[in-house]
Amino acid sequence: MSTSALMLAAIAAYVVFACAVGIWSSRKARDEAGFLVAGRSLGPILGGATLMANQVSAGTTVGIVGFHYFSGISYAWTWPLTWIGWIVAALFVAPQMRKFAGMTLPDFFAARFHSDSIRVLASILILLGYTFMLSAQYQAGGLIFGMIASIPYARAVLLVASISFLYTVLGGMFSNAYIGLFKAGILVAAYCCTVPFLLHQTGGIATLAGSLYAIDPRLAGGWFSVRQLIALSLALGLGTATAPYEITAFYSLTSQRVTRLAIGYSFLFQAFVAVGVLICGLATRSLMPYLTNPDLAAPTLALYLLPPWIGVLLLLAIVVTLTRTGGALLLTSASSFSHDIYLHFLRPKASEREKLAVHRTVIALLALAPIAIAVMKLDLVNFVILFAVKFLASAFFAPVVLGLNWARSSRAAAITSMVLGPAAVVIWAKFQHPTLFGLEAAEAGLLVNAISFIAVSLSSTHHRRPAHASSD
Amino acid sequence: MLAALAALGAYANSIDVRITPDRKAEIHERFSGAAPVNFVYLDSPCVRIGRIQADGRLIEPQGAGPWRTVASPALEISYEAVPVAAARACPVSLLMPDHPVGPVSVTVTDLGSGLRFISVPHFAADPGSKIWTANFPAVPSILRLEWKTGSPPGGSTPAPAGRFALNFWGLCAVLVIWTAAYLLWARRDAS
Repeated sequence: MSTSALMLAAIAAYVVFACAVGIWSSRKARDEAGFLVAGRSLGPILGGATLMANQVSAGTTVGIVGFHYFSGISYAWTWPLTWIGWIVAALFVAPQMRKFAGMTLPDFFAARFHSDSIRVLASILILLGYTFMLSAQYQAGGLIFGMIASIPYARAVLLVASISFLYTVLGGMFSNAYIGLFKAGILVAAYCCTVPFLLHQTGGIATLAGSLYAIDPRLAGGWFSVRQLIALSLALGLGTATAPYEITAFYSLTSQRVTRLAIGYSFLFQAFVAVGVLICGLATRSLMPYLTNPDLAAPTLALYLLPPWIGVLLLLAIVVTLTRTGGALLLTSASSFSHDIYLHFLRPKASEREKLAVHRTVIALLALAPIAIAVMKLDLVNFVILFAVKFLASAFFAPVVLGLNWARSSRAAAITSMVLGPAAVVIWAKFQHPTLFGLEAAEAGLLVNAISFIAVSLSSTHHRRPAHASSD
Repeated sequence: MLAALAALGAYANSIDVRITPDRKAEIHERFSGAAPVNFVYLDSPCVRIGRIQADGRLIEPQGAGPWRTVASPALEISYEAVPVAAARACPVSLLMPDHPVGPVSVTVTDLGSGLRFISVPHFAADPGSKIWTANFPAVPSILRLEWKTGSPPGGSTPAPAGRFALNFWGLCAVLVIWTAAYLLWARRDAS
């Protein structure tokens, strides 16, 4: 049986499994809290897998493998630098956010700043950013399925969108958590098999390093400057600390203490992935150095360079990754419309049954919009994701972190910074060469976001944190 | 993308490898595009590349390795990979144009060397005929051949690698220490 045939069988089995998880989860998700935040019942390991599964997307298993393929080892340093963002989350965001007992990030803004307009603004920003991130998952899926089954790209994109849609619409956050745990397991298994095989075949770390250094010395370190790495990691890390889907995951955990432990388990899963994608990208560069598109490195490795059973395991891990992240993005962006706009403003007294029906309908509608963007193929997968992450980090970083920890934070400051931060990212992205004031777009966006928030807060009336926030 | 290329029919780029009974590989490559072109290949610890010919001329490789360059007047090139020892497994280097050329079909024929299989890249074997064929999205840098018999593969002398080792092992250490330290802190905080 060929790798493609094995892979199609594995994908079919995964679709059946995902649907079964969705149907089983739908029995647990009987009300809105069950559907959006898994009834706040996730423990540390399931929660850790969920946090990791949100962060490790197609941008990682396809995009970062491609980044390592063309730029070598230095990009791997974004992992520990990004983890600084997780420490910010562990100390200043997750436990405090869990106290609010909301369901979405806009819920927090509305409660913290006593404002419905900020709820709407945050919802629109999430819808925008996550539509592009979702399109990148679809784009990566289109590439992978196109290679596996030789099906047209547009049809492959539709297939990926359908898988994400199916289990999310059925089981909401419960499905996402269980598929997240499955994703963590299959990623660890895939990289535990792939890395030793590749190191053996390329002659070990030292020989691999020598061949890469001879192609281009920058592949052995130094492709990205320290400054560039810090800027990229700032966007990724601080974006993660305040990412709407991670906030929803924090809400889904049983307690404040569990949120901290869950972050630790997510580090464990991420460490396997970090080394795995690094070796995959570097070994593929040595074994097949002239691919037409770096994004093809991961599927090429799985389909042509690995033995069939390891290749199928790696491809399945990639497919699970992008469909699972697609599910999380879909659930979060849909809830930012259904929960924060439609139900909050138009049907505030809707029954739980009606709320579930609205969430499921909006998920169906929002699953379709990114398909058109994915078909256009805006850029390399990881570039699309990076831009969306910078955009959202520059909107939410200060309003979330300072809003949670600084009593003088004000509504006007939150609105100003949520408008100016993303605007700065868009303007800076227009001037990449040369960059304005020597700043990378993420640095500019975060600076504008933080400075405008602090300046406006100091000059306006402050809003104390609500007293009704529960603690565990 | 690849489906569209595959639909075009026969691959414009092809590599034909014949393994003689003494495990020497006679390789003939043909690519589409414009000549002249630079080819590159990766040094292998167990074969020596020689008798490189294009357009009826013998060409000497340039460079000290691990990647060597061959300036060829034509896109059709042939050469030999001669084993330096009868190793049981051996990565045989292939010459590649130094730019992307798109999909390539590769055929390996065993003329009696006792070839067992080709482990990297992955090939499908034609049962009984000792012919392995595969289509790839780009030219592989090596074919890792494995025979039924032979000596254990010898080690290669690592080439200079800049700060790679520092980067790689430093990164691994940071990830491990960070995760362990954080979990210790979080568990103590939770108890």
